[in-house]
Order: sequence, then structure tokens, then C-alpha cells
Amino acid sequence: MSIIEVNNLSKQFSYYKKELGLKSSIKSLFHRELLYKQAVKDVSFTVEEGEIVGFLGPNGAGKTTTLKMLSGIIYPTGGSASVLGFKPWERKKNFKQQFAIVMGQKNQLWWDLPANESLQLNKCIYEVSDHDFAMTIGELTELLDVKDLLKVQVRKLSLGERMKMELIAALLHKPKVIFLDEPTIGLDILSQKNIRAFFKYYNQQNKVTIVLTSHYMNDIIDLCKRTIVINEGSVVYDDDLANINAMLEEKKIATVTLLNSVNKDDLLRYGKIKEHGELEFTLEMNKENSQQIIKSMLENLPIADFTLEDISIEEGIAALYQTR
Amino acid sequence: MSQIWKNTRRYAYIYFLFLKYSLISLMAYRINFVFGMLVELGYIVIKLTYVYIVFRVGENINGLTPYNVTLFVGTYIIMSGIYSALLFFNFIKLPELIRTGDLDMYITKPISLQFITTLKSIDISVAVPNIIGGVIMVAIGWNQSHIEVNAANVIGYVGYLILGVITTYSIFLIPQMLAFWTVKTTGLTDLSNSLFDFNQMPMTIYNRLLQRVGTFIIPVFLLTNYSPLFLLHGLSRLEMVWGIAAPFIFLILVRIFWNYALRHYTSASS
Amino acid sequence: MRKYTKAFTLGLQNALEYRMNFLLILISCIFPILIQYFLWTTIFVSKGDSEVLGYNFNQIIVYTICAALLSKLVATGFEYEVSNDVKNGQLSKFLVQPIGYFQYRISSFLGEKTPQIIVVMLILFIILTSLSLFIHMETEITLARMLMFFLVVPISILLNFFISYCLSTLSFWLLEVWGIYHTFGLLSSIASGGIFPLDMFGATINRILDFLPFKYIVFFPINVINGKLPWDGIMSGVLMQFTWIFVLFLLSKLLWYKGMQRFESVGG
Repeated sequence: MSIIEVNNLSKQFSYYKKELGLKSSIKSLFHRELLYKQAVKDVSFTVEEGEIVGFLGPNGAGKTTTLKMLSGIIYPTGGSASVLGFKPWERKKNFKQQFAIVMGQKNQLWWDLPANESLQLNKCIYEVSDHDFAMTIGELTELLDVKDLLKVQVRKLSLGERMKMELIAALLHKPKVIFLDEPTIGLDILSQKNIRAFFKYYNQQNKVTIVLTSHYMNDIIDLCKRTIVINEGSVVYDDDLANINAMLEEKKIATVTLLNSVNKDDLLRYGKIKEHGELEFTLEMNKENSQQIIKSMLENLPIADFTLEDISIEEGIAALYQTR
Repeated sequence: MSQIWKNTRRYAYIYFLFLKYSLISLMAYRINFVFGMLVELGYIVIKLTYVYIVFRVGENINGLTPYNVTLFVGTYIIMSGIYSALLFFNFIKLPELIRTGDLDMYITKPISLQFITTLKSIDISVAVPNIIGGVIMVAIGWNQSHIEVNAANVIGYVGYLILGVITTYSIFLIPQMLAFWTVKTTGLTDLSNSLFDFNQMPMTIYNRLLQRVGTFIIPVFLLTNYSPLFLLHGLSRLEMVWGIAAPFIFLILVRIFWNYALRHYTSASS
Repeated sequence: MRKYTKAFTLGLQNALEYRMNFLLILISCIFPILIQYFLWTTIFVSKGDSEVLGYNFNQIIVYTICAALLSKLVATGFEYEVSNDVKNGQLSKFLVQPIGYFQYRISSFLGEKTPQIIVVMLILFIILTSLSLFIHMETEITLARMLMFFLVVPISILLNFFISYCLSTLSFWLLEVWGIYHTFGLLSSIASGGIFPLDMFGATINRILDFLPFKYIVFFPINVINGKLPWDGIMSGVLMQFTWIFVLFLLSKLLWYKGMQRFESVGG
């Protein structure tokens, strides 16, 4: 049996229509129109033990909602899911002791206390033995290089340091499944890199299963072999990340800076205009005849600067969002 | 059985940690500690003016001497201290936890959600003047009412005080739980907290209807009236039993309501 | 002059914006009034006299209602804004603008109070007339006294403004002040007669209260309307109100001068 199995999972939120103005707010005292929003619809996938799976999708696509259902925070309105053999939303104690969720925008550490106090609390909550506690803390602080910061008040830590402490707090009980919701949000590049390296190592060492959502493509590229792309509540892609590349490889992107402005029609001849400013243009063109196109552009246009690159995975995925 | 014992010890230790953390935090903001005490002193003075007026009037009110009234008001002050130190800040934060979705993290913990969200924040500063002032007043009232200091009286008084804490927990938590349905609770909070003030004077001054409502339906009088009434032999047998049963009945109701409300938790969309 | 009307309108808009809030505050007066109503009923029944501590039953009930509403009406709150302005340096903005901070504060405060005065006066007018219609009052609440009351209350509000304005200078010397403001508010509600009539506290306490401005905020206006004060007493009371306003005005000038010196030397 797979460690995570999700079948036709759906979540519908209901809310009342808000209307502005005095008249409608009086009216709403008696009758309010109930509206529904389908946040997640018929999502199905499985994750095997030890896998790292990336969840991608634009804002409001349903990634976080799915993670929240898988960690038992909210009830689904349809379908089923099993994590470690448990129904998450039954919130069994045994289940809670075996997984962890880290949300980049939420902290569980006590703001005014040194981090080791919050860790002590988690130790009691998760019933970790003294021996395991000392071992885990020693190992994780070493790996994340925060040994000296355990006794510093959390509010005095930098964002990156705080995130590392949050991770230690979440991994204290050696969870078998970890959900990461935007774990690197707001961090500087170096901290992002550190945290990615940590998860890569941690996953290999402990064979834990990780499901990760992120805005940062690099998080996904670095960590996840397999990616699930969600858009408007549905899975639109579930396969190796590399395959997205292959799908999109036949296109190239040219960024052109002109010396003086030209007629737009003169540019359309060379390819599809993706963005354009006063003198800057981004063009999409076919890979096969790109050389000829460039040659003719250089001859016919007053070009000041010029770059040519493959479509980035970001854009490839953006293209995926739009399919369907 | 040993499982229950182990769990109780675990929860007791976690509560001890909450206490320790709140003390550390208080030390970090020492001025708030001082101000907390100062403000509570102000409230005590207001409560004392009522007692002062009763002494000025000098007459028994409904059979209660001014010193009897002191006993009541002292108990009321002690209870305000306990409520604001142990419960109040948790309760007013609950709607905020729900609104911001910070409840999410707590839900995933292998520990009772109700325990951690309703008992986590403790503020000792507000308790200090209330407990000291209240105990002094109770001692004076007790002594001057010529009540014997024996085991039965002390156990009865303290027992009903503890039961009062349980009732306080239940009836002030219920309005906050409405936040699960995204109702604005601030107005309701003010209203329910001002119900507490009905204990400013002994419940015997109110008319029969109000006494009934405040005992059986919204049991505000159970919070601080039963301890002194027990000492003054003012409780009928039925009331004695109700005073013991009601806290648990309301606690169970709150528990049921809590579980029901939690199903309505949709988490803030982030 | 235009800029002060602007500040006045800002305060007014603020009051209208938070009208529900103010209404809720007024409604929350019902509980303390109810508690006192039952307290006095029991005391009068137990004692069997027609007068307790110099008040008959109707008088004390009228006092309780008026006191509860008046103390909400005179309440300030801008002292917290002042301390914010000092703390985050907003105050220096006013140093370069052609509007005095004092003028700004008082205009916006009066603007905020104007609709509240109208509402509270209307409520009191309705309650008092219906009370004097249905129950027999020992002293008649005459129309003349009611008019006088409506004149005196704005002066009380002004007086309380100056007390708070003096108090607000504390933020020049202390970093955190909320606890002091809050406690001061609680104590001044007792000392102004917002909970019990001051003459109930006995001679000793009253000798102290006579030296303080607080009694002219709530206790005095109610004595105007409940007929406890003869007309010459009212006149000297009004005189005392203006004297206190003048004294506090000078004091606030001094405190603000000292405070601003400190504010500028610290660098704001």
C-alpha cells in the first residue's frame, strides 16, 4: 500500500455573498445568498514511501487546501484519502505523532522565548524520550548550523534562522511524512539553498516522504523528481518534472532591446510578442528556424542588445496552467 | 488506569511549562507586569467603593451584615483574578486564532486542541493584586462574620471556589466559540464579561426571577456566590447539589459544542 | 480658522464612523445600572427609611442613570493617540505645519463629542421626563434646570479634556503609559462621582475631593438637574468649572512646553 493515497478528494467552501451599501446590508439581515467555491475537485494521486513530490500551481489553485485536508486540519466534502493508513481528518493521536506540517507563513515557536523552550514543549506534546530528544536536537542543529542559537529569543532571530528552528520543532518526533507549505517563502537565496540542501539530505538519510508546495521553481527543481501541477482545483499534470521541459523544448525566447522604436508589425514577422515596452520586446519563436530569424532581425532592426534562451520551467508550467 | 495517570501527568507538566513560559515572557516586558497590577488595583478600588457604601449605610441588607458583604466581594475579587490570569487572554485570542488560521498548527498536534488553545496564555500580573486583596477581604469578612475556621468550612469554601472556576471557564468560552461561524464576537465578549459584574454584590439582592435565571440558565451566580453562601448557611440542599453538578454539566456542554464547532472550522484561506 | 473646522469635521466623521461602537458602550451601561437598582431597592427595603445617606430612592436611581451615561459621554481617549504621536515621532509633523497641536486636538475632540452630546442628552431627556411623569419625584426636575444641565455638561466635557491633555504629557517622560492612563481613568470615574454620589462618601473624603477638579465633571452636573443644588450653588459651581479649566489650561501650557523641550532634545 502506498503511504499516501488520494481518491477524488474534493473540498467545497460555502460563503455568503457580500453586498455593499446600506440597503443591501439591511436586506442581508433577512436573506443572504449562499455561494459555493470548489477549491479542490476530484484530486487523485498516490505517493510512495521516501518520495519527494512537488505541488505546483498558481495562487488559489487548491494546493494548500489539499495539504490541509491531508494533515487533518479541514474536512473534505467528498472523496477519500489515507495517509500512513489513517484517515487524516479523524485526527487520531497515533496519526498526528507520525507526520509533520511546516507552513512558511505560520510559526509555532513562542515569540518571546528562546527556541529551546518551544522545543521542550514539543518534546512533551509528542512524548519524545529524553534520549531521542538530545540525539535529534544534536543532529539537526549540527546539520542546520544553529547550535549557538538555541538559547536566543526567537524574535531576535533572522527569518532564515527562525525557519530552521521551526524545522527542528517539526522534525523532533521523527515524522514519517512531512508536508511543507511554502517553506522557503520570504527567505534570502542563501537560506533557501541551505534549507533545500537540508531536505535533500534528510530525505536520503531517513527515507521520509515529503510533499512540498512552493512558489519558487528552484525549490521544486532541486528537490522533486516528480511534480503534480494543480490548477483551479484539479490535477493537470502528474509526472517527472523533466518531461515538462521536453514538452516545451521546441520553443525559444528572444529578449530584444532596440535603439529606437519601430512599428509593431515589423516585429510580428519574427515571432509571437509576449511582452513589450517602449524599446524592449520578448519574442517567442520556433527552435528549428530560430537562427534564420535572428539573422534577419539583426539585419533589419536597430538592435542594441539581444539574448536568446530556452523557455524556463516556470513559463512551461504557466503554460500548463492555461491548458485545460 | 496507568495510562490515564500517565496522561494526567503529561498534561500537568505541559501546563507547568505554560506557566513557566508566561513568567519568562513577563520578565521580558516588565513594564506590562507593573501596569497589569496597576490597572487591577484600580478595579479593586472600584469594587471596594461598593463595600464602603454598604458600610456607610451600616444596615443589614437582606440579612447580610456589611462584613458578610465583604466576604462576598472578596470572593468576587479572587475570582476576577483567577479568571483574568488563567482564562481571559486565551478566550479573547480564540476568535483571532480562528480568523487568521493560526489554529491550523494546533490542530495537527497530538494533544487536546481545547486544552492547548484555551489554557496556553497565563498572565500572573493581573492575579497578584486580586488574589492578595481578595484573600485579605475574605479573611476579614470571615473573621468578623464569626464563622468557625474548621475543615468542613474551608473545604466547602475552596471547593465551591474551584467549581466556580470550572463554571467560569464554561460560560465565558461559549460566546467566543461563535467565532467558528465567523460571527464578530467583540460586542458579545463585552456583554458576557459584564455579566461577571453581577457578582459585584451578593445574589440575594436580586429579585427571584433574576436569581433563577442567573443560577440555572446562565449560571453567573455560581461563579462567586456559592462559596460565601455555603459559609453563611445560605444554600439549600438542592442548591448545594446543583452547585456541584452544574459546573460539570456546563463543561460537558462546552465540550460537545466545541467538537461540533470544530467541524465547522474551514481554516483561513491563505 | 478653516483648518480648525477641518479638524472638527474629522473628529465628527470619526464619531459617526464608530457610532455603533458608542451605542454599544451606552447599552453596556444597563448592567451596572441594574446592579445598583437592585442594591438600592434591597437597602431601602431593609432599612425601612425614606432616605439613605441623604438620598431618597428616586433620587438615587436618577443619579445612577445619569452618572452611568455621563461618564461615558465625558470620556476621552485621545491621550493614547498623543502618546503614539510622541512615540513614533508624528508630533514633529505638527511642528512644521501651520496648525497648533493643541488646536488640532481640541477641535477634533469637540467634533467627536458633538454628536455624542446630542444623543446622550436626547436619551437623558426622554428618560427623565418619562420618570417624572410616572413616578413622583421629591424634587421636581424643572425645565429651567434641564436647560441649565444642557449648558453645564459641555463645560464638564471641556474640563475633562484639559485633565486628559495635561495627563497626556506623561508620554514625553515615559516610554509606556497605557497602564497609567487606564488606572487614572478608573480612579477618576470614582472621584468624579461616576459610580456613587460623592456626598455619600462622608465628610473626610469630600474634604479631599473639594481640592480636585473631578467632582465638576459628573457629580456637579447631576446635582444641577436633580435639584440638590440651589441656583446660587449652581452659579458658583459653574464659576469653579471655569476656574479649573483656566488653571488646567495654564498647567497644560507649562507641561507641554517642558515636554516639547525634552521631545526636541531627544530628537523625536
